[in-house]
Amino acid sequence: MDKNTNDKITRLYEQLPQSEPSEFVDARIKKQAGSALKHPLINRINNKIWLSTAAAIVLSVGLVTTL
Amino acid sequence: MKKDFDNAATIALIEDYLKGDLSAFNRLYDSYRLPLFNYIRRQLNSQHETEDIYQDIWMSALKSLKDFRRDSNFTTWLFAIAHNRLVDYWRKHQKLENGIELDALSAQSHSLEYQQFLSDCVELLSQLIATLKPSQKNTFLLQQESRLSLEEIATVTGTNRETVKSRLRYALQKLRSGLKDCMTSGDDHG
Repeated sequence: MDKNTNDKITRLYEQLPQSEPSEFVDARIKKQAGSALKHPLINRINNKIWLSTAAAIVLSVGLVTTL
Repeated sequence: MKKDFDNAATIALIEDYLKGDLSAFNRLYDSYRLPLFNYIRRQLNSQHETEDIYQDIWMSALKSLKDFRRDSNFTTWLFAIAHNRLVDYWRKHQKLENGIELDALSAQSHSLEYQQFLSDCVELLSQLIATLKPSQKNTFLLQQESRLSLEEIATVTGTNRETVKSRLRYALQKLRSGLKDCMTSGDDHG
């Protein structure tokens, strides 16, 4: 009996009109998701640049010392 | 009929997103958009405040998504953020808000008489939800919108299974009693 009426309440609940966020809010959140993604990528690229620069310096110093 | 969330599929989307696939986030967002928004909206009177809180929740989720444990349930995790944000709101405003306004009803392929009957029942349900005690309303809405188990709702709300069960029992008792005519006559209209 309770299970049956609870199911009816759920079915009735599903008829309630749904509210939704504005397109502006959706866009803002999705934009933020995109920005959050960029940071680690930029960091990774920066790390690669830094590593390349460090390697170049070591090689140059090595070359000068050898000469 | 609402579907339960598929946690394995959701976790796959999170992993794709964290690897750089923004469309995976968009798919994840779209599946939680309405349940999460309505969970908040049905506890606040203002669309504007709901949108503010809703945005805060997603911003927090995005910030900590990389730390989300893959063996956890994402729905529990996300609704826990939402619940905590609502608790903060209530603390700040020192009041507990009620309900929503009804503005539209979905059309059904039934007789006009049945549509009117259904419309009256839906409106009555909305009013009854608004009169529930805040903790009971919150628990009932969590169950309806998130489809989480009693244990998971207990995790979200920081209580235990028995408390959740009791809150749901009282909420449903009140709704059943208020919807008595809808519960009995509903069968006649099919």
